[in-house]
Amino acid sequence: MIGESEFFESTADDRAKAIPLAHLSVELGHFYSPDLRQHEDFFIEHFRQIGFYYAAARAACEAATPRGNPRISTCVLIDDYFGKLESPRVLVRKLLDAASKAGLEIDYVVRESGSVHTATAPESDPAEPTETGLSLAELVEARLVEDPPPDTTAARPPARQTGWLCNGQRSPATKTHEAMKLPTAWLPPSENAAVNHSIFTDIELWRDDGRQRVWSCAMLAAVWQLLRLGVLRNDGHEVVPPHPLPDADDLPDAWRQLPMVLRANKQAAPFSAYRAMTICAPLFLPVEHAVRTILQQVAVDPGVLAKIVARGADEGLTISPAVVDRIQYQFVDTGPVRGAVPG
Amino acid sequence: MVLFLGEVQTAALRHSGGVPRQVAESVLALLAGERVRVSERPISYAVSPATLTGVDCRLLARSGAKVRSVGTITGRACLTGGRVLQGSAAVQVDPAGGGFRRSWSHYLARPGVVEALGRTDLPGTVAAHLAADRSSSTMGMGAFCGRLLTEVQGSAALDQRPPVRARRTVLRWAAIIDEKVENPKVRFTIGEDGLRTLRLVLGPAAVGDIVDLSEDLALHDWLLTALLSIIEQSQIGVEQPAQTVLRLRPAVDHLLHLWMPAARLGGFALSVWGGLESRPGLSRQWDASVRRVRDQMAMAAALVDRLPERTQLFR
Repeated sequence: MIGESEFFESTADDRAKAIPLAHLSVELGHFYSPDLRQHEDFFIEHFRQIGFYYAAARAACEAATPRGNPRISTCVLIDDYFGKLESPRVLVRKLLDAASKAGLEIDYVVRESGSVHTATAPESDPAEPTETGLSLAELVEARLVEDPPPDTTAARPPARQTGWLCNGQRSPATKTHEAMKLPTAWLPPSENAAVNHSIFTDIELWRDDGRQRVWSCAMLAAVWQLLRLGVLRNDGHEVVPPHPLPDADDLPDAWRQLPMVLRANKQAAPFSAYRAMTICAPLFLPVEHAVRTILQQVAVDPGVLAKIVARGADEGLTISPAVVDRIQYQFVDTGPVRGAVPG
Repeated sequence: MVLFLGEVQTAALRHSGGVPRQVAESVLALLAGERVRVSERPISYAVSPATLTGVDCRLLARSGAKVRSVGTITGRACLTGGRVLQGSAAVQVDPAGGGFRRSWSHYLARPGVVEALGRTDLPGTVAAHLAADRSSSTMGMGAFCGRLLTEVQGSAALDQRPPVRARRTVLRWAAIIDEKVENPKVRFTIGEDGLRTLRLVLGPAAVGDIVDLSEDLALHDWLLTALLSIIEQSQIGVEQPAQTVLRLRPAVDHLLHLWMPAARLGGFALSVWGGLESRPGLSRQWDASVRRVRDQMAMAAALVDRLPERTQLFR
């Protein structure tokens, strides 16, 4: 006889909380500090350029939504991690106004350093969040399951200690050798699922800088994409629910004092979506390639995925269980963006 | 026909007493952001979140044929009674064919499945899996289980003093799911090198239930093995009763209350356990061993009024 039990069911499916989903999340800009210092005209020009491709993304989404009325939300990502910014009081208004003058509406403003700071404890009151000690970046890193090179068995321990993640087999280290010893032959790196020839990628996820861990732009952008796809959970709970954007007078001086995801448009479709579209300058292609390499190796909670696939099916949509297949891009001319500065 | 393979390694938790629920939750937290699941009835039990490891290696068949197989193996650690720790790995072998490897996201979308890229011989794979010796398990599953155990055992929350000295046991299992099977078939064997094997032929069954069954069987097999080893070391009839009782004491303190076959199981697993109870009859042997321990205790108690024994017993 099976006694009274407080056991959670063996599948994680019932635990993972469902969150609202749009059909499409369109990223209208990912702004780094050098660009964020620019005058409003810079942003009006940026959003005007983006507008052409946003219209295309919208049209494609409408055509792909069998029952009509697609839910589409727009967002911009503010890099408050790698550089010093103007206060939210100034910057948020500047961006929203510029978009509106260019004929676009920004539904959500998101600050990037939110994925580095600790996630909110699931039980806590949203008004007074308590922190669990884990950041979104750490939650994603914990879910990395490395792409194994040929002849890897389960005996290979995970190599997460280095902060590097690749898509194949590295070239063996060729250091200077002791005198009188023959140098070891050079061997090429190889990509695991190469099509004829390899395109080997090795990505720095983080670097420990003294006592602080500095996450890479690629890793944070991977977290960002997973967030937009609505697949991140902490103990089954939504990680950073959107908060309404405070009135201009109530905006704080520091970005850190704001929730990570701010809803700027009260009528906006949900922030997370079945599919994500990023419209950006070709300059960002290497970062996005790195993001895709990381996302290929993130094992998302199967319970969350199954629910999203099932909900999509209820709406007549075929949703790929591989998250990386739910992200699209338009690499286009968006004006003179500088992106992140080297160094 | 669907094939599942797995391995379970069982050992005493390296801690001097049973650990409470909070400690169990902290040592089994193997995946950030995922909860350790616990239950207190009918016996205290905690299980880590599932972890995955990627493989791209040769899968052997009995005939010596090898087929390249790519995918992920699921692993987890569980703790019963706050005392007995298990590392467990399981995988579904899917004869996908195709001959070429796909992008890794394809495999991560099917966690716990390894796709065989060439011609497969599933019965031959079962035979090779179960016949391999203790140290060379299919696709490195044994090393994976061992790593899970090491990760938990190394926790700073444990005092590294296991109260019971018993060898880690290895149970390797294979389950063939065949819709047409009405009565489950089960074969449990103990090899010369101490390797336990479990071969199941089942009707429709969920992999989670098969893993639960394998872990439950491995747990009880380990309990019995540990108890027999303690009884053997106690040198009943050779040593003075007081000495014998002292050596039997860890069994009374740490093992005897943990015997609860199929406590959390249902469905086909109950009938498999039923079969195992009639032969080899694990519970019969356990009951006999427990009676033996208690008889020694009773005898020592009867002798307690005699001064020499008492000084030895209650030092």
